[in-house]
Amino acid sequence: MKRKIILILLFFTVILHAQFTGPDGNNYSNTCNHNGFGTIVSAQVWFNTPTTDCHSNDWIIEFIDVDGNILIMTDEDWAESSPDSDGYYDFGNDLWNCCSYGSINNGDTCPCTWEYDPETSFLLIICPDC
Amino acid sequence: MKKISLLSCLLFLIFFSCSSVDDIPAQEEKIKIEGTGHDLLMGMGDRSFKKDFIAYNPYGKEMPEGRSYLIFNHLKKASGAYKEKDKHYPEIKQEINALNTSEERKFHSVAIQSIALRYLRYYFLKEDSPVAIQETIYLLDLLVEHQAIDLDVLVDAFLKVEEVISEEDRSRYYDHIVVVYNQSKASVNENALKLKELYENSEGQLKMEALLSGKLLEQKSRSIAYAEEKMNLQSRQ
Repeated sequence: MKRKIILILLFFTVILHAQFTGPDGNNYSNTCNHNGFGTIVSAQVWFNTPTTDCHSNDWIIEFIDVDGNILIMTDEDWAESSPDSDGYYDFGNDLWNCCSYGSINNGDTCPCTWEYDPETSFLLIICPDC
Repeated sequence: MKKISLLSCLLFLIFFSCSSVDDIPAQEEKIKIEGTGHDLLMGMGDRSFKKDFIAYNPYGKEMPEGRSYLIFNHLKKASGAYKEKDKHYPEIKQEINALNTSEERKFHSVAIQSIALRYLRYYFLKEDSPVAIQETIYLLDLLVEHQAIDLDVLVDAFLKVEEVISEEDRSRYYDHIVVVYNQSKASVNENALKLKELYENSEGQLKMEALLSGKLLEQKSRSIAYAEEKMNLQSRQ
């Protein structure tokens, strides 16, 4: 009898473990790629979601730029700089399109002015309406 | 015996169904306050350049298959150092030390840099204790060894410890910062106008992507200006 109970417990443990082992083998259930844009040659996100869509507060983003350098951002970084977000983000939006929600917004809704000084290498992008 | 087995199954089912039902309203509540694509776009661009953590890729423009397990297991602990301080630091440092002397050092380099940068920015650079000074020296040395390129963290760490390190180390770290400063300037000069043009001549999704790319480059230019202000590096070009 004890053996059967142990087997049942093991069965559930295995099922639960399998459910949360993602494509990279590191406990992320979802991953999504972006082919790159501007000086970003590729972008990838790994995320878990508590719901069936692309809303997540458990994620890691990796940007690779034209120089090969790598910028990684996590929900903890996002929560630190934007506390109201509590780390949540929707990877179904236009930028990532990990879920097919359709259009949420685009760059045309936010006109920005670019100022660049080659002497000091200073670039300033001002977006007053964003 | 069968009854006990069935009872165990039922208990498990009840337990898991109850927990998922309870979680959903709380999660939905949190989702209501999250942003859309533009919020992250602008949020990433407008967050302080000091909290953009860029790592040097020792593989150049290529990427190896797979990613270091450190990224998935420990990076978020380092990102959380602003609230949890050094809670996980000793164990992570031990693992980094082991990997840093192994044959897999190169494979883990991006993860090691990304973790070291966060512990410096979120914790040790804010503290003035002897331990903070000691760990700043350790992490700065580690970053220079991995040819790290995050200018503002390198500058702040260098300025914090330059009085207590040897002249040889001081010179080595300073020279590395000058190299990174010049490379960063070259990168901004090469890409700023290209991105501006791309932004001005595109629409919709492409325009948004050009803006995000520009915002990331803007962070680099702010980092250059910060380094210049703190260390007067222009004269060393």
